Amino acid sequence: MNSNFTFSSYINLKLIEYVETLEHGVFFGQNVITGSRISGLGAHMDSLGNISSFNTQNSENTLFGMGFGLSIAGVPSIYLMKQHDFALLAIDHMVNTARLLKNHSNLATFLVLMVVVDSGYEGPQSNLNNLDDLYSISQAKISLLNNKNAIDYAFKSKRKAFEIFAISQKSLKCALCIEESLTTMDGFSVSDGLEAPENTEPVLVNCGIVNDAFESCVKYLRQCGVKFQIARQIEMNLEENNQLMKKLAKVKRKFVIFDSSKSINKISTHFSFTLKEMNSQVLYLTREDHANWSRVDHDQFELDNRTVLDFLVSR
Amino acid sequence: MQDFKRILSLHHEVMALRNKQFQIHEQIYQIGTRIPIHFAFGHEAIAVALASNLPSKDKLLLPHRNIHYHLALGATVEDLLAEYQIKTSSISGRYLGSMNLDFPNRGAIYTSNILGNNLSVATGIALGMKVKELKSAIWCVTGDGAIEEGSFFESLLLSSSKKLGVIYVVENNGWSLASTIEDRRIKMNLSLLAQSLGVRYQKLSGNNVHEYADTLYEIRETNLTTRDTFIVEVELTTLGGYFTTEGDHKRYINYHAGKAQKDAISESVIQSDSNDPVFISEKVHDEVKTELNIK
Repeated sequence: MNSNFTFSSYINLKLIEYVETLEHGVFFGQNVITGSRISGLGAHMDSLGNISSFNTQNSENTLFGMGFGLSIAGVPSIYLMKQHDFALLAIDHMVNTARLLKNHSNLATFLVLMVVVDSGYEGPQSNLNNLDDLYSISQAKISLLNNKNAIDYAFKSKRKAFEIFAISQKSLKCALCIEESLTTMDGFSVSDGLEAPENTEPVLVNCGIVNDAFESCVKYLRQCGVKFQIARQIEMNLEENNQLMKKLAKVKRKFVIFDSSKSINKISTHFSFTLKEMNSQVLYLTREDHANWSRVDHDQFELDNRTVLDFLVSR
Repeated sequence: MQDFKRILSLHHEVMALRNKQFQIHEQIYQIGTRIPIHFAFGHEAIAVALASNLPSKDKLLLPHRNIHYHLALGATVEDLLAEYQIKTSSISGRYLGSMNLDFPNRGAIYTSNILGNNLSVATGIALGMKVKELKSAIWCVTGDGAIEEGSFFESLLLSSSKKLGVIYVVENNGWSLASTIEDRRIKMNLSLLAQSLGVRYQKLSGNNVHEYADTLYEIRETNLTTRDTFIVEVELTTLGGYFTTEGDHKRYINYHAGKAQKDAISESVIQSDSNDPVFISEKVHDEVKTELNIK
């Protein structure tokens, strides 16, 4: 079901609600308070009295350093980043500064809201389209804002000193999807009753930011009358996420893992391994054409729905 | 008289700081440690001058070579030996080794061993103080190697553009690992760079600690009033290098980190010229004493 909100307008609402809880803070980034901002993200933040909002120079490494400095100074900040490829310039801070600060106390939250460019046709560059690599090296909490449930969960969670919120570029102006039947568990949005011991329906596990192939497969399977449960990853957290896999694998059933991320270092590999180790039947679907990841194209993960159907109906 | 006392005290501190470094050097390698320590023989004057201008509300960000600042801020030989052996952590409160060691109770709140990493963190701390409306100076120590990083330019631009007023202290010893400036790049004119970015520039040379302290005091006063960003370039020599022979050639090995060769220490750490802050301090000390006796 779609709501009257777009992804960006709903995130803006949540950002404002979050900022209103702060005594003071800083909202910054390139082009965040002028023009159309970043596809509308960050609208109205500059009208809030308790925070200082400003456009910055184009110096991503230094802007990350500034965010960590604000954290040390006890001032919460939000850095809105047009595309997450730019964060590569700040890997030093995401890795070294973040680790150094892990045993500091009294840090304020430095939140980076970044747009994952997954809309294709950007050229060989701006084509990273994965968060697994950032997660692996930064060990930061990364929330995937891929539906209303995910956005609510991300903003409701206890804040950490350094966090990344990621949103898909192609979703930004789309109507916000609401999946009433989903609840939140171990960093996933899951179907109600998924954990129940009597529930032996297969589980479709979606990993990564947004996956059109997953959505299309879900529709196809429903049309085919196949019953299944859904687990959507909404926070990258290896330990927590794996807990869910361990819980679910206690019941004998099938799993299909979908992951559209363009990384050789995918967190979902661990899920597949955990499930197989517990003797579950797993179909793991990922992009395997590494050599073509820099091709200028639609950047869509393609899969044959029939393969999934055959796996689910087979004995 | 009061001023003479202050001058004598500063120069005493320079000499004491050298002795404390020697003590740590002697003891740490007898005990044995795997933590790399970057001694700062020859860097004492700027450390003592800066520490004397650091009220508790100011913040200091340090690089990997930081032993001189910790000692100047009041850490004892025993404190640092314990930190370096990861035994107890009395000054940082955490186990950070040597290159990330900080001293929060004395204002040294962040230390990075990644070249240029602390430059931008300083802008955030300065912005945080501004948001909280706290009037304090933010000092960030770096070196002539780190200023080659893009982060130096970016941080100067940010600090100047947003009136954050970071004071960047550039310890220019002419070396990055074992490469001289001439080996690795053209000479940079920091004064012109500063001018182009609306940043103020001050050069310190000669290793006279009380002159350094006076200049830093004036810089701090101006900084708190104007929120101008500063580059303070300090010309200094990292002592402890030695010569070796390679065939017919004499080859200079500069001191960078870790254990210094004992012969080198005895021969070249104490120099009889203005490259050595202790030489200057002993000279000024004698001059002041003579002056006082005459009066």
